[in-house]
Amino acid sequence: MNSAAEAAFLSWNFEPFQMGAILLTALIYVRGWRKLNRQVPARFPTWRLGAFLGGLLALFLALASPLDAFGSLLLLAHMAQHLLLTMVVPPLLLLGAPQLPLLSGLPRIVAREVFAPFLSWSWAHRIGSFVTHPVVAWMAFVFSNLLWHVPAMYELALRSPAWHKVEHLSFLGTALLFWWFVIQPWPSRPRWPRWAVIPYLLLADIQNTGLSAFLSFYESVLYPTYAAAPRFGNLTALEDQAGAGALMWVPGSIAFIVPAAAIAVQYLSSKRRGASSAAKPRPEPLKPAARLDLLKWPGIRWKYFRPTLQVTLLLLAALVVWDGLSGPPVSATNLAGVLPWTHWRGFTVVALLAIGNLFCMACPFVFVRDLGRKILPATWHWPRALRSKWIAVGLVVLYLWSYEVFDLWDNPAATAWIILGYFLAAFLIDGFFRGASFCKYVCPIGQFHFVQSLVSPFEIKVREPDACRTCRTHDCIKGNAEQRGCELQLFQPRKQGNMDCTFCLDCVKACPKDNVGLLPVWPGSDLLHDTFRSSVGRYAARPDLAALMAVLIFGAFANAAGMVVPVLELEAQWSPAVSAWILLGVLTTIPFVAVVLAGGIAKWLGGLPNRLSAGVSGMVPALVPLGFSMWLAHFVFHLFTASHTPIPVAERMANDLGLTQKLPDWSVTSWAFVDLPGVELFLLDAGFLLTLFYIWKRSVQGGPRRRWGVVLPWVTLALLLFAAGVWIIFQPMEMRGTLLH
Amino acid sequence: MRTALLIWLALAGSLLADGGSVLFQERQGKYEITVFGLPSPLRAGPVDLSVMVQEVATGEPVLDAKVGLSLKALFDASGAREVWTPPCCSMKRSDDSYPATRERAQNKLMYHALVPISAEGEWELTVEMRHRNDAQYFVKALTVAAPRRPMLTYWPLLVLPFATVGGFALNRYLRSR
Repeated sequence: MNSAAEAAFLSWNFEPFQMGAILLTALIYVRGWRKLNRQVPARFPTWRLGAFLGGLLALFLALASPLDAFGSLLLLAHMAQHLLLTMVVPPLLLLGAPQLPLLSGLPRIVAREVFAPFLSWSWAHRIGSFVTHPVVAWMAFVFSNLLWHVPAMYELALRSPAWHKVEHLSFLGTALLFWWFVIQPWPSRPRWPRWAVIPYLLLADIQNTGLSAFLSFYESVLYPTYAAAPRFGNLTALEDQAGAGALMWVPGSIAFIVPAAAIAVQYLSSKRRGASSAAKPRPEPLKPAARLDLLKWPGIRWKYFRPTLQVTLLLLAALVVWDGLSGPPVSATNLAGVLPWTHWRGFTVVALLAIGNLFCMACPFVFVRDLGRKILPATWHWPRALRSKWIAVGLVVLYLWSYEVFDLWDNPAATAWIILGYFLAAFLIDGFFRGASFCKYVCPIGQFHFVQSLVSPFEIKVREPDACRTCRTHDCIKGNAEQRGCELQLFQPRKQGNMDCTFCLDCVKACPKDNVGLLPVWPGSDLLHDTFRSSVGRYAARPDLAALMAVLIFGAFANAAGMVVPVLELEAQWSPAVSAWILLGVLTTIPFVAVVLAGGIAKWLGGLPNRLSAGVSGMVPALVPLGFSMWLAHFVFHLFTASHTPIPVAERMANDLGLTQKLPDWSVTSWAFVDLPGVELFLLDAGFLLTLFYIWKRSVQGGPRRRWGVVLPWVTLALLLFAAGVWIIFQPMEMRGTLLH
Repeated sequence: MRTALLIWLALAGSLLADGGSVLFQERQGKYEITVFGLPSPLRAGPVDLSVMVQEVATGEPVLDAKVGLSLKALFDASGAREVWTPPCCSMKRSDDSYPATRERAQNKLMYHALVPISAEGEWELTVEMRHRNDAQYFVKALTVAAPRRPMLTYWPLLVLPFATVGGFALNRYLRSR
């Protein structure tokens, strides 16, 4: 293969959304098909699975293969792509009889609560009945086919990615309707006799033949894009057009005629009416599906798994401190200006989204904590008066405030001193006090992760609650001779959610019945109901936790807003002292006033009988997903736009140490892409929707007389925060930690 | 129908596509150089520029060239309102020159660069191409339209939460019946 052909075959487009949608659909179908194959094997044989997955594979080829890359250069490639979308993908998908597998493959609660009401809605049936009527489906298919071949429409799709998307959606949508009557996927029932499919297909073929003949024999190039496109080899634009017409004509006609012939044979064949004497496969009894447990994955329970993570982070922290104190003061050229503020924060929020509180699991401060316990007495009890999150609230405010006021991100030496101070605080606090007092009551980084991990999809929890009922030793909290129990006093049988859980796995190792796992949960499910949680209690009774959450929620928006140009321009007009006071207000007064106001109005409108503080503390957790989504959007933006910045910094360090003579190349590339704001918005949307849902679910607590009265003020607050987030995402950002400004 | 709808819904998100159109074609020495641009027409903001280099004699694409693009405003840009909407702000290079590489291109026969254009107006695009001992460059004027408002670009994502809330309300209504 010559190099040009090789390059052409390498022109794949692995768009994450495409891959994600196709893979998710495949996973749901396979999950559902496995269930149904065990229950009704005759109805869901293996070939149906093959057909559906084949359809998805064809879709993948249409959208990701070089056909897509060459679609704007060669009409032939574009035509092949469209043929796959209209003639190959839909019949294969429908042959998989996907309705039941897709529904069965969804989590039961989603199928029942979300989809079932719509699927049994009479209007949905009427509309469905209308659009799948053979005449309507046929006309929609033919109209879509003709419309998108009109030069103005075709050019529109070639020029605009959005219209290209609409074109593909209409091709696939109308083709699914068209082939639906031909395939008649189970359990749908035919409305017309089977023989009617034959003229249905032949009439479609006549339209296809007419259009392809027009393309093949037209004497000038119909689409200006192809007339202007560079040509390959000796293929002229007109020959390309004629070839595309032929492609549409021959394989297109085969796609219509072969099924028509097959149906004719099937219809006329006596076998069709003869009963099969073959023995039907017997259904297998359903086995309960194995629950996903990340702790069963190889390596995670390895004795040195956590220490390996901790040592890695400890070494990185040492490097950051060393470079921060001895390296150049320009943050973009110093490891202390790059790693902690851009990469560490970015990766930890991604970890929170994907799994959970992995930072605390890998926390490097644990080493000095343990050292402190060995050197110092570590016997005192943490003062009862301080057993709350108020110290942490103050430290989080201090951290967010000083980050902006002292430009910590732009001061590698200060960053290094903060890390050293952190190690010292962990050493002293856990050196004098018992348990994990530093983690539970002081560490602002830990509090950040505790709060955000409420939205994480995994949780350390018991596998079989029944096994705990007979347990008398309670090793998970008390520990035993080999293993200490939970130092944060989380008693597994009564633990709910990730609040205060450091993912240290002590309880996992201590449980003699091996009954604790890292299990999937619905993101934010802990926010649904305010029940008693071990060592945490009820959120409604924890104003300190509500304050922590409120500071972190509003802090997400304040932190991101502090980097956008309009805010920076505004700040430039103020004196530093005024800016500092305003920021302090944004981090303290505004959250306080906003949540108290929302809670007060909710109490008044909803007729809530409980105390205002309980109403506010009970409802603030519902805003956590929105705050988390803002952190996520913000940090992911910086992670992508400054992805490669550690490379030249590492080169500079190696150069300083004399390990290499190579000068760093500061003009590095990044993972930034045009639609990055779209990804940020999508994350914000998801957080906003989760917050709205949890406001709705939590609005029943406290026994309101009018539920809407409770919902309205909190939804308004969430809407204002969402609008602020959208505004921030659309503003130009200061490129901190890079040499770009 | 429900089957068709389920599949269509499940796969709707995957039907993303690429586009772009030819900005100009130039014959330079023994090379034919075609420059593609997206969006079409060009708008201020991040712009996808792709360059295809072919040998005139054979039509074969040249795959081992070095291609650079640089932009210069043909107007006094100092007073123009810059449109550094994200992620443009992370792409700006101090010398306004952008290397185009095949690694970044979806179509591996082309050289691609993501170029931020800071304001609407007339711009000058310089294309530099080095292949073996041959160096070619040419300059072309580009007309860049006003940027599209982010709200218009991302309206589906702004509508999504409210549409979902509508769906939720309908769901509750249907379940209550």
